[in-house]
Amino acid sequence: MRARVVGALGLTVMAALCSSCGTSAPAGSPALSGTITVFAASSLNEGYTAIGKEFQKSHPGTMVTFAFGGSSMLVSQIQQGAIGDVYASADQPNMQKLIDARLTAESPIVFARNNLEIVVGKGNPKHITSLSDLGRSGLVVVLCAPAVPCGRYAAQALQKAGVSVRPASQEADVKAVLSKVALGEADAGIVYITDVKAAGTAVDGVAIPAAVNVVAEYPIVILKDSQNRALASAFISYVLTDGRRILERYGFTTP
Amino acid sequence: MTLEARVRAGVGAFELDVQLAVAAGELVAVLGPNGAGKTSLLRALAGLLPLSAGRVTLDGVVLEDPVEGIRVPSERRPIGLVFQDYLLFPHLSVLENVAFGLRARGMARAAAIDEARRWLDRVGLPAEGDRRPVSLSGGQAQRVALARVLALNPALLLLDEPMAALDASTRVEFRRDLRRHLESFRGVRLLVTHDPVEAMAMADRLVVLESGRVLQSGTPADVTQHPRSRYVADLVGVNLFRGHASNDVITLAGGGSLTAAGAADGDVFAVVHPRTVALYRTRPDGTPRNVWEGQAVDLDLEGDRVRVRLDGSPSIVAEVTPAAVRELGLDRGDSVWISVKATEINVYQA
Amino acid sequence: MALPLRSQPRARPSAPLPIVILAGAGAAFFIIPLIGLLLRTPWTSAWNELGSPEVLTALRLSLLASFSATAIALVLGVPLAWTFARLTFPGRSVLRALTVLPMVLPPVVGGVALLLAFGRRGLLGGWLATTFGIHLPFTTAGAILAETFVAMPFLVITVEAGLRSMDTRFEDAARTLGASRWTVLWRVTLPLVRPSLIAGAVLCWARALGEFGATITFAGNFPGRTQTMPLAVYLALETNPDAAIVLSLVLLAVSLAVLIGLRDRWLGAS
Repeated sequence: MRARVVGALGLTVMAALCSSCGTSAPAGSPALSGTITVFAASSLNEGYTAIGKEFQKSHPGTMVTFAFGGSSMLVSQIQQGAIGDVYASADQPNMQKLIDARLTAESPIVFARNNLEIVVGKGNPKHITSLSDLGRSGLVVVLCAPAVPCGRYAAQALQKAGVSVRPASQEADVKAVLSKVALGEADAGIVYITDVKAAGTAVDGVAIPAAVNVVAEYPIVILKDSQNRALASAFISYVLTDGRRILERYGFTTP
Repeated sequence: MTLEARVRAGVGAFELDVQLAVAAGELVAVLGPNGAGKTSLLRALAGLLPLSAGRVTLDGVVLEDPVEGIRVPSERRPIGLVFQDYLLFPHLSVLENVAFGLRARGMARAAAIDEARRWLDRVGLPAEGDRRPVSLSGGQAQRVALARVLALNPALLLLDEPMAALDASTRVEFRRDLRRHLESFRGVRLLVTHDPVEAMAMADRLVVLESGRVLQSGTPADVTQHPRSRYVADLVGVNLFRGHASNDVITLAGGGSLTAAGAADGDVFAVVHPRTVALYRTRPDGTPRNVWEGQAVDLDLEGDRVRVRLDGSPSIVAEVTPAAVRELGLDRGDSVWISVKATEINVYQA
Repeated sequence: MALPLRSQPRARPSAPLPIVILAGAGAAFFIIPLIGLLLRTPWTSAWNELGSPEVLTALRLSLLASFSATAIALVLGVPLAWTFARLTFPGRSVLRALTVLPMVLPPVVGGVALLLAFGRRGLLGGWLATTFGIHLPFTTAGAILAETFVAMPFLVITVEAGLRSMDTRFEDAARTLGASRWTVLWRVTLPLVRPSLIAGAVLCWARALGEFGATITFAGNFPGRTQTMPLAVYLALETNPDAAIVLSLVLLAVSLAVLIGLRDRWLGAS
């Protein structure tokens, strides 16, 4: 087991130094097979789905299933006994909860970074230009619940900008914030830039300047109770190598 | 005060077609088997069943006339209907039940309760006011139902099988009571029943209803002595024949013939009481004009008589003593000779 | 001297073994989660949790919303039930199916449907906002609306069943005694179906109390305004599991009290 972990880390280092390397099973290791379940933060929805497809193409005979949700909700589920192989969080504190609960098989690795963006209705009908505009009275603003990473990040950004907002609702995950704005129920929300990008023409985004923006770090780890460490490990490697291209396409930055 | 009704109404496939008139002072009983339409008739008169044709007039006021587009709703008809199972409101006390109609018509609660108390006294239940209907006996419930209706002083009183919910032992006593209460009622009274004894005991006039139509109408004596249908004949317990009479010989519709004394020619009914039917093992000699052979189909012991149903031409029911049955050695399936005297046959115009 | 006869106890029907086993498994299915909840309850801190503002707020909001939803359901649902039980008209079965639909619809779908109808861009929502200044999403009124939507069918169904099984001749009797249609309804029909009214109202209230999907989708989640108990439990599970357990216990106790109180009525005595 230890050897495998070391092996995976070693591969990661190699892959990081060779970004154009193709992905394949390391020489000498057995052919991969089976299924793994990946718990991933909602904001990784589009990106990871694309990665999963490519991964399965490169490794025929394997299958990756995803369970997307608020990072904190996923941690809760894993703690209650949900069975899975990999966990990818939208922030470090939630990952730390898993580590503290001794549910991780190794040390997590940060595989991507994200930034916040204000999401508004198509055409920005309320003419929102900055975080301070969110404090306008009469505006319907929705945020993620404080326990969810994007809620925590949003609170940080708002504090940095010195804006106080009275949200109409605190949603359970970032996609719910996005959908409320997309449906026209809310005037604005704070989500990740990747979410605004993924929503395409349904919404518009308003950039948050770097000075007040927050960098969200996304760590990934193999879960202690994984039944298919080899495949889990390979998936993580893929994310760290070929996956970077895909994630960047969706708006993430990669280390 | 008179009720004049021509009622044509339908309930599903069943059609009611009745014409009758009842004057205040006469108690008319509508008699008929189950399914004859008796309850439907009452419901139509009460306004619960719409007429398809006809007209109902009470005391000169038209209550319903489909052609003229008149239909006075039930709640505004001056009627009182005592239902078969009384339908006392289970969630109200006896007093509140009796006061219900008064209050519905606008009387203040206290006044209505007082009036209700007076009526309960009149029907002999002074102490039962606070009880719930479910705790009353059949006879008590009947009296409360009556009080509830009489308290409104209706012009037309309709009673649907008032004794049906009582057991046989209390029936006679309550029939007397009911008769007494009805006698003091000033409006038009119409009672519906399937019990001939009840009809006969209470009514001034009988109307016989079968399959939605009036078969015959008249005083109880009239109806029972001259039954015009199998139903009434069975009620009274006599043999009824129908046929064509010519020179004292009646050719029967069902086959066979009877000789009767003094029968006018034409379409006739002929009644033979089972008591007058004699049975023999061998063909009898003697005066009876009507002698024929038949087969005993059924023997029923009823009290101290045996009713013997005989198949033949014509079929007939005889009533003999058990001793006679023993003497004859009569059993189901046996052949016997039947004889009826011509003078014992009651014949009348059909 | 004759010995006194002992009266035989009436033989109770004995259950066949397979039935006992299956029934036992069925009972365990319900009892074990409850026991789990009771065992995990932090009894020592439970009282403090109960007094904490977030719990009290959620509880108060839940009670307000569920009782309001039940009141609305009574006002709208009883006439609806009466219509289905007493009248026939073209399209009745379709209308009835539609009013029962929220019972079988996933609550979140119900929430989406409410958004499409009463949301800012919804069928009626836009008009309500511009004409009356009434906004429903993200408000307590919205939470009440969501709960009414999913819970009212229970009341309609129960009351309709009661009206159908009632002997309508009592209404006839009342009419012949001179009662107008309105009087018949108030003084005869409704009192006679009182058990169904009560059972329907309680079922409706219990369902409203536990509603989650439609509420969070339509009314959103904000403490004190739209965060009812079920939403509070859901979110507390991630941050404060003890509070979540205590909230769950409160909901459980309330629901149990209601069901035990209703048992006879529900099991058929009408």
